[in-house]
Amino acid sequence: MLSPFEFVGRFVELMNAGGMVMWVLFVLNFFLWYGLGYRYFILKRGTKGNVRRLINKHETRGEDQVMRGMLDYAVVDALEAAQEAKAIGANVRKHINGVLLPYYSDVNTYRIMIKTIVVLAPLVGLLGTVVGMIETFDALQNSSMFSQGASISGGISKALFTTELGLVVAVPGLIIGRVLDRQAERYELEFEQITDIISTKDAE
Amino acid sequence: MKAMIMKLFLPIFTLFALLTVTNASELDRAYQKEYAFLKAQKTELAKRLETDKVQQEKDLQLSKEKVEALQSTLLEVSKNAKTSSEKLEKLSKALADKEDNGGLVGNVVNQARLTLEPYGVKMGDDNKTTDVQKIQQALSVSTKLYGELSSIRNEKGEFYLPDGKKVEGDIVKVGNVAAYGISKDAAGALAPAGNGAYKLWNAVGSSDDAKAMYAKKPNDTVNIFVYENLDKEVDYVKEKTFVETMEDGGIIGYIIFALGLFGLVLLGLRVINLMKASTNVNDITQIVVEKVESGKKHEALDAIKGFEGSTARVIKSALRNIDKDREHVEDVIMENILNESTQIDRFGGFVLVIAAVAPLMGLLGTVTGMIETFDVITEFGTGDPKLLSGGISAALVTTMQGLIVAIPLLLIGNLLSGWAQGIKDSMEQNALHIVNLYEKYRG
Repeated sequence: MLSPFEFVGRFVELMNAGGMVMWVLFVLNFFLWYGLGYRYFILKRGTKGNVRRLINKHETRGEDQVMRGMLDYAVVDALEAAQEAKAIGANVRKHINGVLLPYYSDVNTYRIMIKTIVVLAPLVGLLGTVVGMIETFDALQNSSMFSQGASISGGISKALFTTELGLVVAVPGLIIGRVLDRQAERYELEFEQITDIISTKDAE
Repeated sequence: MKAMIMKLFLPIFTLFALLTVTNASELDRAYQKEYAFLKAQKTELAKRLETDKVQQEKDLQLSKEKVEALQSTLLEVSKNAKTSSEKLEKLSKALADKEDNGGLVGNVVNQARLTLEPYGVKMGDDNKTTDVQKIQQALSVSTKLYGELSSIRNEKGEFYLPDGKKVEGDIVKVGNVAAYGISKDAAGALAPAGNGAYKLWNAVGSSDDAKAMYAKKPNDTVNIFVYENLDKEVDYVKEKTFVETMEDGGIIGYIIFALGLFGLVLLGLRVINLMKASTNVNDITQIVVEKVESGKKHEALDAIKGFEGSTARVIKSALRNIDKDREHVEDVIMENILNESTQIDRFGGFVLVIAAVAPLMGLLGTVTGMIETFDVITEFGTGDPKLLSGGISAALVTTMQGLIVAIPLLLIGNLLSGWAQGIKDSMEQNALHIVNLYEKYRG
């Protein structure tokens, strides 16, 4: 078992083997997972069951209902807005829409950032590969077998490491990002459903 | 005529008849005599025949034996001849072998002489010493040389400094493949400078190694320049400067560079735009909400009069039309946001286009560079690896440039798009929020 210091040392060694691009990828990876984690916790559903039942629960229990996830808060806000709208005789649907707008933008937080990084990581990896190849060919050009230092093998390993890391960064981001996007789309549909249900209920 | 023949015949006939009658008894006696004589002769002949036959058989026997004897002699002689010729063949083969070996030994001696010559070892090529002696001499000399070349030894010598100055000092030779130089001015690993001369290699930190090697106490790891021979000069590896790298990219490299600069400028403009549009959203909303909540909606418009920017304009227009029908107000807000979004989205698409085009340009540069390289190779052949690797290295530079331009533009461009979307969302939200509040407090 490696001690933490050794582990960090090895990690730094590996990163330096790939050159500067590796650190760029590392930072990109950090941001990617921060975004993914943030999105995951925001999009955690908390409650099972469909929207219709959720609204019923909130209408019957009122303040006693325990808040579990974003949908709960959205339903409460929508119900309040509906009451308000009724009190001032305004259009209920518009009022609810206005209240729910922040939720729409909430479920899409960091979406663009994740997509960007997923596209970017292989590109950065490719950049590292190209830089490594240039280094290798330069070394080959200068003096075939007497190249001092590890230019040739170093260039090749640089070229290989960065592409690898680029893909390692991008692929989980692509998959998990896709899953979270689906989740966000479902939330958007559910917000629309909340609006529809509450505004039609009052019309009855 | 007939009468003449008749005249002759008649006397002859008469004579003959007389003779026959008178000599009859005499004839018989002669006959008997003749018979006895002939008989004796016959027996004598038969006897002779007999003896001759015996003699002949005897002779035949003798001859046969003689022939047989001769035949066996012939056989023996031919056998002898065969073995002799075999012997001869063997001998001539041995002679040829000997001659071959002689040539081979001569070649080996020659080769040894030629091999040893570059190391300054002379071998006598007079005819006094035999080949064996020559080989023995070559072997002993080679062994000594091998021992010398595979050891670390200190010599006096001279070498060139990186600035071209020739200095005298100690040279530590590591076998025949590397050397260190130590002089008063500088010390370090030596590299071939052509024609058997040395020059100081420009690597950092080899002076300690040189001193350690001189003292025969080498460090665990040493900086060393390993060379094949001293005849060919080795160039210093120059770090390529940014400008040189740019030059490798050629025209396309400069186009990419210009695109990148252009994209950066657009990004800067876009950031300024977005900052203008977004900075005061919360302030404006705060002020307006306070005024509306306290029922002074007309003062709200005055209060935000000093604010500039997209959000301010949207909210101002919302406040101006706030007394109208709700549908109408929303239409006004939407129209204003659409109007502002051209300003907010300005340059955004173009930056992303540049980000998409730059790698393609880089690829184009690489492909044209490769084509040039292969054209050169078609002309000069593949004998020099420098042609190929140098050309490819130069060609790849444009791909690198394309990616270097594309990556930041893509990243920042996308983030700014997200920001722009956020601003539009918050404008809509805040405007609707104010309208909702107004309706609430109006009622």
